[in-house]
Amino acid sequence: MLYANHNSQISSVCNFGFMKDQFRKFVENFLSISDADFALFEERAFVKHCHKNEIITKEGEVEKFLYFVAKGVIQHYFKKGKETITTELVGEGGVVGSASSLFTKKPSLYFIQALQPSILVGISKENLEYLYAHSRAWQKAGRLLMSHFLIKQEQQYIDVLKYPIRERLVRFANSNPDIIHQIPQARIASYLKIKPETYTRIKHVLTEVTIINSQKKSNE
Amino acid sequence: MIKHNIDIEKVQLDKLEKLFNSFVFLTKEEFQLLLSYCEVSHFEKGDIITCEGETEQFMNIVLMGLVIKYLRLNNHSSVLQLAVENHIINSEISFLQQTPSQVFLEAIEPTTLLSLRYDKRQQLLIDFSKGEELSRKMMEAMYVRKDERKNRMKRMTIREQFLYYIDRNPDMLQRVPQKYLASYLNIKPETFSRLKHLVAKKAKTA
Repeated sequence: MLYANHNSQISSVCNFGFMKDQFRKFVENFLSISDADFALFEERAFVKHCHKNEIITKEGEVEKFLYFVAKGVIQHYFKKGKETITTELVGEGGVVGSASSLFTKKPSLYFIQALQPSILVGISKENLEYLYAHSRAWQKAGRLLMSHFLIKQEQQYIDVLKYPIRERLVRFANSNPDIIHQIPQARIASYLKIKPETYTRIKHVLTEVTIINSQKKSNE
Repeated sequence: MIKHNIDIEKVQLDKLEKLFNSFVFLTKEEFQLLLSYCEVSHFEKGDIITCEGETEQFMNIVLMGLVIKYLRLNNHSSVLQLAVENHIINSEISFLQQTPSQVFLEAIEPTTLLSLRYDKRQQLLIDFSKGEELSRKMMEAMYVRKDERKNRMKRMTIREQFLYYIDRNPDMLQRVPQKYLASYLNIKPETFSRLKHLVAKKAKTA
């Protein structure tokens, strides 16, 4: 199992096509895209390698791109005094970018940063609009992607109100099994609005979640 | 709830057209076509528009009145949105996924909504060439509003948030019952009264 994972990571580093395929799979969760339509995307997308801690978008600058995370972990954050407040954590298969800034052309309210060496498939706002203007399928994909963003944002807000701290952590671990052990726990605590000392006290629930998840995987 | 065919006052119609045009340019004919897919509903103060557990069937724009969206928790409710004229409101997760709603929508003033039913929306996306773009742009606007609110909640003190909101929405202190406004702004009732006095004092000295 470990060995297989290791191999797939190596191939993804070597092969840009592989990452675009990953993106295609992601889009095809929403709708099917013809080869011709996907070619429109491939001509305009680019692959960006980020080193650990690299800043992708700065607070205060207008966002020009959206990125699909092919590998790695990305955070959205801002500084409040000395404190770093994480507002988003996205692992492989997610989409990042300062969306509000991209839509409104207002300065980004936060930083976007790679927490691990990461590989992104990016597209500029202009190219995205080109896709929307030239393809019904991409227009539909854009709308469905926007629904996905809206649902995620609203559910995240509801979860913080609805679930007690321990359950919040378990839910996060269950939906992000890959990133939970890859990033500093202070980032997860900040994202889930859990005080660092509370996090230390309850983090043992993660061991249970990991065991259950690995059992599920081996049963599949 | 009373339903009507499209029968909207001219003033409201103009505002609505302006709102749609801020998302995507529509000709007069396209605007009329869009309206023909929608319906207008009236609600009395206190009417539940969407109930927790039921699947949201509508996407609404407030033509008149005031709607709140709230989450019912064990011993209290948390207000997620206050929507006045020209605001878009629905139980969006439930609507988009056609799953049971986690939230309530309630009219807290006599309210008129322009509503697009889920199946009509799906039809509109097929029939109307600008439907995809309009729908995407509307969701973008909803997303941006929420993102900016979330950002204010994380950065500003309670007092700053209160002043920011009241400054931009001065009529809401009169229109919205205090408990709802306090919940929306995440302020404890006793703190809310104190902050309200602060605004009253400011108004006197100004």
